Amino acid sequence: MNITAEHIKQVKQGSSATQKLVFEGLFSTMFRVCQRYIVQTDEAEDCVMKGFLKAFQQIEQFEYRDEGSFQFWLKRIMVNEALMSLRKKTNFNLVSHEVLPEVGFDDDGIQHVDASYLFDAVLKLPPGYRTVLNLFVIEGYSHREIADLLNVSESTSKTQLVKAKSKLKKLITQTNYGYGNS
Amino acid sequence: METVENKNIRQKINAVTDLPVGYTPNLESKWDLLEAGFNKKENKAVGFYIRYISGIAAALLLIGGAGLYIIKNNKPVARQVQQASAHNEPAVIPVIPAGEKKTAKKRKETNRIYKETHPVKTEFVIHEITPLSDSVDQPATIIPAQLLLTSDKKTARFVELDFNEPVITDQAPSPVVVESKRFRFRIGSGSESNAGVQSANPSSLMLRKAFN
Repeated sequence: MNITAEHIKQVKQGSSATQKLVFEGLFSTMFRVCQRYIVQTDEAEDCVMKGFLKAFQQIEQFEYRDEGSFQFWLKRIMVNEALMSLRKKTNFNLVSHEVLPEVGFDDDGIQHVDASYLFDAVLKLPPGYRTVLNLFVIEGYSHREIADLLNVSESTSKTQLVKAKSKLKKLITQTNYGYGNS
Repeated sequence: METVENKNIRQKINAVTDLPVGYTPNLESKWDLLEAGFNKKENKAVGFYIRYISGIAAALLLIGGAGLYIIKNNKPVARQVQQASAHNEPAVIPVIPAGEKKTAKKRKETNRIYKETHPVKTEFVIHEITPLSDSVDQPATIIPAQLLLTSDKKTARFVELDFNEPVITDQAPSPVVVESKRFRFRIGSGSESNAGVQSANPSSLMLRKAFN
């Protein structure tokens, strides 16, 4: 769903109908964002609800630029909500600070993997690995930012990422999702 | 620098926007929940402001009440006397029993000591005031204390009475001018019914200095 400037204007004016439209239009996308961090369906759902509540309450702070800007802003809110929920029960600082050599996928290997399979494989990663992989690869945060967000050192973030990729490769290969069978 | 691998992963993950298979949430009920959350938050905010304002009002009332109580219980003596006489009650004037004359300096010192040591303060009830005549033949004029004490003057101790034209009526008393400089106070610590007992007491105090 594309959110236009008119939608934002009406949401800012407190139009309940437009708020509902935005909520229903973006629920599934935001659910997937939360689920990448919090695997359990009910917890991910809670995260989505809290995220929407916060977004509608702080809508005055949002400045419309283009069609994707609201979705990007909302995603950030969802990620923050998910991280807040994760921080309560996950210790991100469990791995050693030893920096491992990066294990990469084959250049075009990842392209053969089905998107939903890859998504499921990401959900199977341990919480620490999954969080760093999501933040670095998908959200585009730097290791320094991740270190600040998760209250870990920068080297821990790097180590977690290497291990996450290695584990993801293993998972994809094991489940025979097409990767490595070229 | 972003690798191709990361880019591929991001594109594939972001492409997954549909709900998982088997998960079909009721968006209507979810929206109702969200709206309820809105109202709850708004009510919370309103409730907070109501509590805040009522708290301030209660605090102001308490402070005002306490202030009134303090003011009421710390009236100056003259005001107490005026009020007592307005209600036709015997005036109660706190008197520090010190018969000797003192200079202003000594009195100041006494006051200071009084503040520091908190000596016992005795309260006396003035039933009547008798001007002291110089000759024995001249009968003493007895003026009810109320007449004296309902003067317009702020301080009862400085009321002057005129004995040439004494005004002793049942009507509202008016200030009179005193010629005599010396008075005898018959005082007691009880109500007016004890006046006779107190007047017979030879140890009645002479409060001359009050009118000097």
